[in-house]
This record gives sequence, structure tokens and C-alpha cells, in this order.
Amino acid sequence: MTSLPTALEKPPRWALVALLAVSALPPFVARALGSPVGDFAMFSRVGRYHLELAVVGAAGKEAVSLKELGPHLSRDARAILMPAAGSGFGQDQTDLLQSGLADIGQLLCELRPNASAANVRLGRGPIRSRELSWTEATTVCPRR
Amino acid sequence: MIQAKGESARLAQRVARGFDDCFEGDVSSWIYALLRVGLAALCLIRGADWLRPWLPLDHHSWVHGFDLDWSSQASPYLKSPFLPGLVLGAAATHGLVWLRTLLAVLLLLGVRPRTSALALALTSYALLLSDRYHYFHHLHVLYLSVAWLALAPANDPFRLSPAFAALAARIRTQPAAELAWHASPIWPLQLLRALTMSIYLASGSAKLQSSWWSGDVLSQLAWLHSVRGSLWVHTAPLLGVTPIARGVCLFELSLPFLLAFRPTRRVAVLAGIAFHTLISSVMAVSTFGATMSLLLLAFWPKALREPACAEQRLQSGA
Repeated sequence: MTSLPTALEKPPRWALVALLAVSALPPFVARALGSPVGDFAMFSRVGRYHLELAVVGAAGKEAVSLKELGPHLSRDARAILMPAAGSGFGQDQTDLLQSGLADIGQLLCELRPNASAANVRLGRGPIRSRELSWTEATTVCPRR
Repeated sequence: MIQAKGESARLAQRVARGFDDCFEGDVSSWIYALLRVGLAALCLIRGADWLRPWLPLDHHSWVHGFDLDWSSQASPYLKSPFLPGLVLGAAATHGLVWLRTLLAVLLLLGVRPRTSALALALTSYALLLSDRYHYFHHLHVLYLSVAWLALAPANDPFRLSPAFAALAARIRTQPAAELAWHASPIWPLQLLRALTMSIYLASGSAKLQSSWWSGDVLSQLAWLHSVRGSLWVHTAPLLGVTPIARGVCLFELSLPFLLAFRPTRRVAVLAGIAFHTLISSVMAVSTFGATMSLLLLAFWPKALREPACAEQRLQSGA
């Protein structure tokens, strides 16, 4: 195994400027891009979320229980997805969920091989409000 | 016109020299040893539930065995990587988890520390980004700090190889090389300081919104039992939720500036550590408080050698 030398020479100014930018700017870039990953917002927002799943088959649209997904999820995914059958809480969790709705649709297609499409709806809103704004992702299932 | 051009050139020169000054000088290598050992230990502590029998920690409530290890129970499993295409199966995940643990041990012992740190950061990020639901801010801070160790000097005596060399020399009754703290360049430490300051600025600026400033968010967190404990129960009615929320925001925004200036630096370090101790006592933030306290300690040491430009200015009486 070749190893790095015990100490680096001080880099030239341009490299230090680049390293400084890489050290200090990512949280602000993440926030500008609307990504919860790396923005270090730290509990500054809170909200609730609710998830609804359905597949479209020969008999029409059929709701799928979130519980059905449980065994197919990682532990961390279960911690975020399972509460969403009722109301889950946390804005970062909602952002993570929203960015991966199509992946959940893909899993639904695999779980229901006869389905022609999967529909995933995410509702999000303030904690003490009944109003939710909805985001929807429809995945066309491959023919088998 | 020519005069204005000359002035702007002089200003640019001064800014460039000021920038260079910030990265000049040396610092005792104990700080690099402390950060290496501390961050490696945190990786080992946070990466598994080994301490469960002796020291219950927040993450023990959801981590059983190794953290981020394969945990889907049935096929087909959800493939939702944060980094597109980074889909790891059970075997690869399991292998990376073991590799991460081995690398954290090597880093702790100081075996090829810079290489170990780089490999540990890459392994940890591969696991984190392979599933979008693995993401936690405190893990990201920890892995970023470990990645920074790849730039840090590794000439402290608190490593396995110099310690072994000294022991072997002693056994052979030969004079051992003295285990001493060397002077190390300060520029890598300045980068870590910038990272630490940016975390506080990002967190504080995110709270500059009416829902936080009015205390609503903090009330909701208390309602959800995310903020809890006897300290909160006794303090919140006494101080009021809104002043606490505003105080937290102002503290986070002012800390980077207090850390930046030498006269207030050490007081800011102590205040920051106290702040994280308080947060850890009322919220389940896992190892976040410990990681940030370590990063704050990066501000503690004084430079051993003043910047060259400053010396010249002193000599010339400027």
C-alpha cells in the first residue's frame, strides 16, 4: 500500500482558495439548490408528511399499504417511510422522501408484477394544519 | 484613472497578502493528534453499538450491530441511492462496513493516518450515499472532518510506528528517538476552522425566518418530544420559548465571529462546548455535540510562528 507523505507542502494560493471554498461554501450551495443534504439547517424547519401508494392493474387503481413495503426497506428507510402511513414529522425527512418517490414506484412495480403503473403521492404541510400540498410520481411498470 | 488603477492594484495586493497571512505559520502537532484520535474514536463509537452495555448513547435506539449495514429483510429491495447509480448489494455493503471499521482502527492507531483517513472518508460516504435514507447531518459532519484529516500533518508522536520504534530501541538498550510534539503547518487547521465556522453560519442563517424567530418551531419540536428532559422542562417556562429560540439563532450566528478573533477565541471555544452540552441534554443529536466540540478545539492552539508579513511589519515599525 502506498501511503500519502506525512505532511503536505503548503499549496499555492489558487489551490488554497479552492480548498477554502470547498470547506466553507457547500452548506450554502446545498441550500441554494434546495437540497436538505449538507445544508446544516439543524431543526430550523419542522413539518408533517403523509404517503399514499397505489398500483394500476387490470381491475383499475388499487391502494397499497405502506406496511407491505416494510420488509423490502433498509432500517433507515423504514424509520422515515413507515410513519408516513399516518403522519411522519420532519422537514429533512420529507425532502429526502420527495426526491426518491420514483424509486418507491419502481419497488411497487417489482412487488406487483401485473401492475401497469405505480402511483406514489406525498403530502406535506405544517404540523398543526390539516392542509397538505401534494407531490405525485407515476412510474410506468415494465411489461413482463 | 491611472491613480484609481494603481489603488485597486494595491488593494488587490493587500487582500492577497492578508489571505496568505491566514495560512502562514506553525502550530504544535498535539492538535492534529487530538483531532485524529478523537474523530477516529467517534467513527468507531457511532459506527456500531459496542458501548451499549456500558454507556447508552442516542444511536443505540436505532443501531443494532454495525450502522449502515445491510438491513433489508426481503427481495426485491428498495434501490434509492442519493448518488445516482451507487447501488450496493448486501455483500458489498457488508464488506464496506467491515472496511470502514478497520480503517477507523488504523486511523485511531495512527497507521498511515492520512491514507487511512482518506479511505475511511470515501468508504463512509459510499455507504451514506448508497441509500438516501441513511443521511444524517451529524454523520456528514463527522465524515467531512475525517476527510479533512487526509490534509492534516501526521508527524505527532502519538502514533503506533514511532511508539513501536521507541519501544524497540529501549528493548535493544539503544537511545530512542525522543517522542516530541513537532511544529506543524497551520494551513490545514485553518481549513478545518473555516469548515466549522461555515456550519454555525449555515445553521444560524437557516433560523432567520419567522417560524423559528417566533418560537413556533421550537414549540413544535417540544410538542413532538424532540426537545425534552428536565433541563428543558424547568428552563422553558422560566425563560420563554421565543427568547430561547432567538438566543440559539444569535449564538450560532455570532460564534464564528467570536472564533475568528484571537481575543475572544478561547472564550468562544468554551461557550461553544457548553452550548453543545446543553443541546445534547435536551435533544437526541447523537454524536453531533461531541464532533462539534472536537472541531471547536481546533481553535484552541495559538500559532507557534507568526506570519512572515507580520514579522516584517513589526521590524519595520509599521
